[in-house]
Amino acid sequence: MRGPGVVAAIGMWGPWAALGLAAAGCDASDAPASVHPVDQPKPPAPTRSNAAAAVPDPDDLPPTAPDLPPDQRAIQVVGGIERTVDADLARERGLVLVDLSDEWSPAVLHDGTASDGAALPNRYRTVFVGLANDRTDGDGQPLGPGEKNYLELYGIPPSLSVLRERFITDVKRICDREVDVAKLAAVPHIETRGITTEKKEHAAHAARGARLRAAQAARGTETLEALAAAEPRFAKDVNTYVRFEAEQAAFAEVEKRLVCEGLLDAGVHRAGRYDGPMRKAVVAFQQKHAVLDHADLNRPTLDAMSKPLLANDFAALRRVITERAIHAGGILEDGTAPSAPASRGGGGRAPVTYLGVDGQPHAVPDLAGQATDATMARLGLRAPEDAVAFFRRHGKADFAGARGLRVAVRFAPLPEYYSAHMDLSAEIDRGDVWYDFPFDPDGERQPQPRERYPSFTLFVNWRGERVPLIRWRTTVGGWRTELAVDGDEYYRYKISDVGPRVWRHVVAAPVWIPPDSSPLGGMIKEKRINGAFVKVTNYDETGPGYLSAYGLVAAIHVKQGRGPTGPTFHDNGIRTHGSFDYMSLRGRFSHGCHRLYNNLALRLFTFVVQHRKTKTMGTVALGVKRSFWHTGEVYEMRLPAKGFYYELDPPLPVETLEGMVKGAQKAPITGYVRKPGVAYQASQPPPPSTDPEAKAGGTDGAP
Amino acid sequence: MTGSATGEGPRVATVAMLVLIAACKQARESERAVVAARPSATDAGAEQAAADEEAEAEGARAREDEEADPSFEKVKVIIAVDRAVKAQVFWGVKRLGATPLSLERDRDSGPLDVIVRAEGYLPVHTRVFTDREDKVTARLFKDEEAPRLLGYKRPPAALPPP
Repeated sequence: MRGPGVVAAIGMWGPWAALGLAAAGCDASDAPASVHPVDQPKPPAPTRSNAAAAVPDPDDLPPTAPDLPPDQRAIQVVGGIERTVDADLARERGLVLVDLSDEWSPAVLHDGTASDGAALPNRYRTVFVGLANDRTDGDGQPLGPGEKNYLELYGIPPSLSVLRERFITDVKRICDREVDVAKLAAVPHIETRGITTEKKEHAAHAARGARLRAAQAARGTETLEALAAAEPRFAKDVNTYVRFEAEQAAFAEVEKRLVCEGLLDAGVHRAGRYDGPMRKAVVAFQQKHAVLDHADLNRPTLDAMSKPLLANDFAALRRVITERAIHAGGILEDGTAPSAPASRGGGGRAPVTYLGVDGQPHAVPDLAGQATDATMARLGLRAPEDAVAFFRRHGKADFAGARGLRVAVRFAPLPEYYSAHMDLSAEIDRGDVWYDFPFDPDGERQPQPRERYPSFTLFVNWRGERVPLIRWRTTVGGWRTELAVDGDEYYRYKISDVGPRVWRHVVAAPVWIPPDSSPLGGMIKEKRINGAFVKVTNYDETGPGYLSAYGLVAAIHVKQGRGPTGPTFHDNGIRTHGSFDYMSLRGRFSHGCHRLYNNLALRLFTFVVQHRKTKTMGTVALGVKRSFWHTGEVYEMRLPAKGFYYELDPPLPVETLEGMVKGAQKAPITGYVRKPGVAYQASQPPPPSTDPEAKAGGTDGAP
Repeated sequence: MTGSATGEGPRVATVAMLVLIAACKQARESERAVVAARPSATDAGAEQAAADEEAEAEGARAREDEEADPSFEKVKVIIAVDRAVKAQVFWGVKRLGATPLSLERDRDSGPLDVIVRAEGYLPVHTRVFTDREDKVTARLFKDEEAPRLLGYKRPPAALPPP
């Protein structure tokens, strides 16, 4: 869902999705799952493959002997024909082996080895792999029959086996014939409402229709448009009526699409209503296809529903290959590095560059895009039908195990600034900042527009220049509600630390420790266990897990100082971390932390750990146990570990910039501010806590 | 879909937070009482709780370092209670056995959220992990000890008349 930034991913893959295959002509048969014919001709042989075969490619490796052990094999598609090649030879030739196995996870989640050689198991990896394969839930326990994890937007892309099932299933569906995409295209969005409001709106629409038909009959006009032209007082009603009708017509197409795609059970849904089953199906569709519309039926969702199923599946495959390729190549650059204004007139933007040893500027490449293109090409995946053929060649068993399928690919050469220990630094620009209280004395919310949103940039310092490698959206703190010690709720400006800090520790699968002041009700949830729903302690937000407040990986911001015995590090509760709350990356505020889409956080910190001097510390013990009371029973929360730690030595500099302070207030208000319209018992708000624990969802002292 | 774990996450969390805040405000007085009633440093229960937490912490540290073979496919989990009573351990509706209970589970088969029930004590919900060798000692509370627990609310009938 979030490729190079979910939004970027959607935009980037759009053209590919447009190559959608009309499924009508597809063969509905499925190949036996265990069949993996090598060197089987691809039916029908595409013309482009013949042309490609005419030009020898030095990266084409010779087919190997059939008795080559599985762990030495890789595949390549050469001239439209897939062959098995020698993985060792591929490495010798400088090719990259991209892991297509179902056991894949980002390297930051891999097991480690201590300096004394002891194994350091990274415990969340198993859960990550189980989730990616639709095998288990977030606790690592088996999913129910037919359940799916659509977790791409949460940083867990589906495995190749899961995608295989989608392709093989969807090629049999003919939704394109059933859905009238013109009706979906006719509306900018479809308004969705709660059940009560929806009922009222439908009643109002019916009444409006009756009024207009009566007026039409009285006036003798043939159409509503003619009525509006003849009697302008009806124009507004006519517009409303026509729009509502168009939205209802589009809504019916949405229902058809969701039913056809297997996401909506028509038997439990009331047609024409945005009821619970419909909402759930819409969210499933959006999360399956990485659409950032959470439950709303806006243009991106309607566009995705207008595409053939296989086109969307192909876009998902490309996003998955992107993640695999980026991690295989140990690269990060995804084309998001900020461009600079063109230096010599003419306007426009110049690509960001670095100074080569030849003294010439070279553009910072989009290595992620190049690696994705190269991998897709090497697999012969140019259109959805290629993917269908690929998955018919390869049964589920081919992706199983840690030595599942790999593809040998030539990636673009790494820029000169790459090394085992890169001089990296990070910067968070807060963008436009408003310190003013966002309500006037009458309680009216005041607009606080922002032109520049917070951004995160990773730089490499190279030959005297600070070269940006990526720039992504992030979050900063702002006005948030907070429960004070007097039990009342106030507004408080939750500021992100401004100034230079360092990352000393990167934590994979981090655990968030709820402050003592956390409301307890949220610590309970219902869960199905052995066929019964029971109340259990809720570990979703603490983690480790994709729903953790710190996401799948985090870096701890600490202020470095000097003490009598060496450097000192102060943790003020701020992190840069992945986030399950992917919609918050579109302009909302955090409690001070800098959130990233989970998949980007995994890319970033895998890259950092791979390209900095790093000590793998392994799982760090925490040993927190809390007992609390809820409805007559005792609940224990046990947090045995706080995550899998990496120590950066030296720490990596990170600076948060002030940004552009807008409005009249030029410094943050430090105290609580009363919420408009709320009656408070206390004459004055209590002083807010300055404990780091109260910040950003808690602190966790670095070990 | 895995239901709320996937699609509904953020909104459910928001709604849950609002409900909690409302509940929190409603029970402000009792919350204050809870804070006040939190075991003090001199309280024997508090000392026991602190010792438990410390022991848990020490145990966790030891486990992280000492697990003999983290690649072994089975793990042993032990469920015990901190009182000299027999308690029954339930996993959903399934009764697993009496404490001290030792189970062998597949490594990484997911945590067990269990309920420990002992005559005369409040039921205790706790969790044992299967990604490591694990032991949990559930702390039992009698009814009259409940007010010492974080989050305790007096039942409405026990409230003094307005």
